Amino acid sequence: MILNKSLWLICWVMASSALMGQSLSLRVMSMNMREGGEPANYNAEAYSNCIRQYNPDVVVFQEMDNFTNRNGKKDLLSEMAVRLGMFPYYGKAFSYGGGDYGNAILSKYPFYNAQTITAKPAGANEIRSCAWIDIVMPNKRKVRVAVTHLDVASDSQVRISMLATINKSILNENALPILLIGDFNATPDSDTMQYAKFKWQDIGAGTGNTIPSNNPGSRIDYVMGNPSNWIKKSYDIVCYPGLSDHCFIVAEVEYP
Amino acid sequence: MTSIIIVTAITTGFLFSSCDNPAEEDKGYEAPAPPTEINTRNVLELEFYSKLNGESLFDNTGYQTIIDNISNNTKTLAYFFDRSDAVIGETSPIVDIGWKTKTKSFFVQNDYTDTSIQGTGIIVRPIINNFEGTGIPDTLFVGGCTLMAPLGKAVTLTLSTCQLNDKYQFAAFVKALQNLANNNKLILGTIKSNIANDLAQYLKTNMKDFRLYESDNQEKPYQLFVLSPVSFVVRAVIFENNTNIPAYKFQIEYLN
Repeated sequence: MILNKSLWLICWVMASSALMGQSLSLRVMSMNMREGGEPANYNAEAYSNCIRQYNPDVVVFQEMDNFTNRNGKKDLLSEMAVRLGMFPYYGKAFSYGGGDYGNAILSKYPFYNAQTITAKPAGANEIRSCAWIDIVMPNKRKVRVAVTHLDVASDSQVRISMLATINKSILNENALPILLIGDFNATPDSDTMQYAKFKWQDIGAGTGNTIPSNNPGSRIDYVMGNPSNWIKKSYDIVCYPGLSDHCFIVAEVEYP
Repeated sequence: MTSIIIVTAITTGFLFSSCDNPAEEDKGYEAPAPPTEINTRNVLELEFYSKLNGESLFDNTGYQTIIDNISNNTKTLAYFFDRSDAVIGETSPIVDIGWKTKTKSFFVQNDYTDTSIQGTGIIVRPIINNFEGTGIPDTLFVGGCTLMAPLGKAVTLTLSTCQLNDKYQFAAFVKALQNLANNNKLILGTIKSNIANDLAQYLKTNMKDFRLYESDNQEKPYQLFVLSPVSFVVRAVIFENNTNIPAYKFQIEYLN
């Protein structure tokens, strides 16, 4: 009897160790909705159909409306979550048009922690937010996925200031591997991205342009990782002018 | 010699008298009794749906009555759905209820496999900037929404949930609640009936400044519990069977 229990315990420890030893693999997608989904007439089904093709674990959104007048008082995020079988988290930046405007996340797995921070650095056009969720993957590895949309102001100090706020909020409090994904409104050689790379790995370095979606000429959307040993398994830029002025990123990434 | 006899006699007498009046056993922390008079302006309402039998909450009969209840009742601050289990990649009942009632949905997992997740859903009305949680795989998940309660004066609360199945979870549970008193955290959850008394005893010796309510229905496999700072007290728990799913309406007073 004791032998059986010991054997069971050894098996359990070995199985747990094997699971914990597995690398963290995640398929992520980034979508800038352009004015809450205006190009697709705020149609959740259109965006859901696009997302479904790529079967992501996590989708992050910028420019997501929540019950605004212009989107017909719809909760587009929750509707997409229902259609896709995912869990939603909305990160409000500011009140807008009878509702809310900001970033959002859909996750295939439930999140046990989620937060939104907002900031309006001097010179910024509007309040911007960064939202994140913490997930335990099926192999029990934890990961934090964050989304942001940096200000479009001409002065890069505005974006750098927001990045500093983000770094302070999400990097210092724990040792989870983190992905920071979104529209940085800055090209790879800009001061903003040079600053970003002090703390973040540009996982898609060298990949294609992301805007405008009908003829991409600039790269301003990124998947960034911290610590800096994320591995890019695949990284695709997919363009749907009928859905957004940005191309979307679909990336499969791994953390050892 | 006489003095030795006197000292011995006094000491012996003291020892015997001590045996006659043993020092009271340390029973741990006891919360002060709440005031008898209820300030109705400071009473908040929460609804907890549970079968208390360890089975999934939703079956083929669906949850339209719950959707109607939430849509028609704006007084309840938050709704909890014990064992509102989900299947990975399929529509989660709690997300669907959130979308159909124009509320925000959250989900605190308890246990999961590669394909399915057991857990407790939370429905609230406002956008939540801070969904605060702890996730320790194979041990404990706790999660909750921080929101403003419209009481006599606005009070910021964190409404959390978890399920306790075994005594080994207690230490992690207490650690997750270290700042209970400072942060106005209320935890509504379920606990296996056979360890409910053990939790009460464990908390008495490992925490202070709290109130614990346990539903004391030993005939069910699970009981409800509410753990709060002493500044809150459960005034009433009303069993409701308006929907096809058992619900318990908690009336909790903020003592201030």
